[in-house]
Amino acid sequence: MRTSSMTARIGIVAWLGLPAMVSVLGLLIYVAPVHVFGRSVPMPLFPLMALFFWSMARPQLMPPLAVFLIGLLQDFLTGGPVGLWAMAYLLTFTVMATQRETFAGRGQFALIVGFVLAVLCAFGFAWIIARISLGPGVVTGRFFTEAGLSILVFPLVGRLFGGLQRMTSQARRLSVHHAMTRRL
Amino acid sequence: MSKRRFLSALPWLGGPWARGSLALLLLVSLILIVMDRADPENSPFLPLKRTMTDVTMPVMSVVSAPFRGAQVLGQWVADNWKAASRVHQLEEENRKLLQWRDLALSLHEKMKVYEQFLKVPASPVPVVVTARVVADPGGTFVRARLINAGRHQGIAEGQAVLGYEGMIGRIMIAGKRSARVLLLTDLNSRVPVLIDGSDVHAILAGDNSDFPALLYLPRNAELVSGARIITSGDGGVLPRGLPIGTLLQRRDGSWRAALFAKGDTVDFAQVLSLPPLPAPEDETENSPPAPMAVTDNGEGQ
Repeated sequence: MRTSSMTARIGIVAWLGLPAMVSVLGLLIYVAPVHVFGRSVPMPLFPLMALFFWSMARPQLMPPLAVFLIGLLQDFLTGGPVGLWAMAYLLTFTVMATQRETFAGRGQFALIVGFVLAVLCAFGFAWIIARISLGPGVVTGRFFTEAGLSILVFPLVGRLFGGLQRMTSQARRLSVHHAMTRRL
Repeated sequence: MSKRRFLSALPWLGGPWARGSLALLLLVSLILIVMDRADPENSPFLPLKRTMTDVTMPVMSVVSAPFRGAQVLGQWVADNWKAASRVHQLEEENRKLLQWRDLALSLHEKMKVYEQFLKVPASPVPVVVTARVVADPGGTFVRARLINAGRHQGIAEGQAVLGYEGMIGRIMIAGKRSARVLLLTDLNSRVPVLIDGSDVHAILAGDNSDFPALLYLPRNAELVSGARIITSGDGGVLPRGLPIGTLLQRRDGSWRAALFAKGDTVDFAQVLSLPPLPAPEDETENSPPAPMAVTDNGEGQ
């Protein structure tokens, strides 16, 4: 009996914590040093993918506070101005909130188009904030590479997120079912 | 009316509480940016940044391990692929280096005699700390690296960081067991430099491109493409003579530096820890005398 209660709790915690865990893991991979043939390789912005995916698929699991904290963690990990990515993500999140009806639940293609818009918003807002806070010398070379890479790998990563989401949803349903049957 | 329409587009935010928190968090972000950028050198977040580097360093070591493994494997394959030509190249380099070593030893002997003769105070010997680069936390707008050594290993903010071939940057934030290195290519990097063999001083200023700019060059300075750039030691923070790169002239006539060491690809970094030189006004009567040139038997002159 105690085991099923524990399983139920784990199922719910996994369902609730998955977006945050995936975002943080994506952020850590984003800042990991990756070199190919002696050159540093720009990484796709995985945390943005996670933020976008869950704000479309399960918005209740990605509240503004989580978006802010993930952005703030990115600022501390990248050593950039504190608040830059927090603000850029929150602004992107707000824009995407107004467009959710257009992109969510309308298939893979609509989701990819929505992500392109999210990338444009996130990098655009981040560039404006960086330009204001760091000065006019902010260059855009790596900026476009990261944006392009993010768009390129999103279909694959999006499917992975979808699979994870289905798994945890199933675990949650099972745990709720267990809890209900235990009460009866 | 339009406001109501906008808010109705956000029903999934969970009501007015979540919408209010969104506005509040945007305001908090703005305040954080202003507080951090008002005086970046004395940012109120510096202690938090130090703690964050310490906390994330072990996690980053674990996360970057698979990438590092793949990289080592790739490098091994690439090295073996062209092993014969590499051996030939290294033999050639070794022959040249042996000639340079003989020259360096004879010059070193000559310099030691001159220093004893002129009673030149001995230069402080830097302590070298070698550390592994565990993260590439630069992101889009910052060129920085996280290394796995910090204040406990004698690392302090401002110290020079070297790669295999030359200087790659300075310590920006020193945590207890980790430190963040600001690369020479970063927008905020400013290093006083000297064109080797001339008396031309300049400031090497990063702009997030691979070739940092040289600022404040004298107007009539006679510069030659390919001349070596070294640290000038101006300001007393960095030692003089650390190799940085070579001069490069752009089509528009501006001068840039082609760096010897690419900070992007460095796996191990060496941090030079120099004892700080006290200002004359800070020295008291009881301060120990400046070290003098030391003879072979260890006696000061």
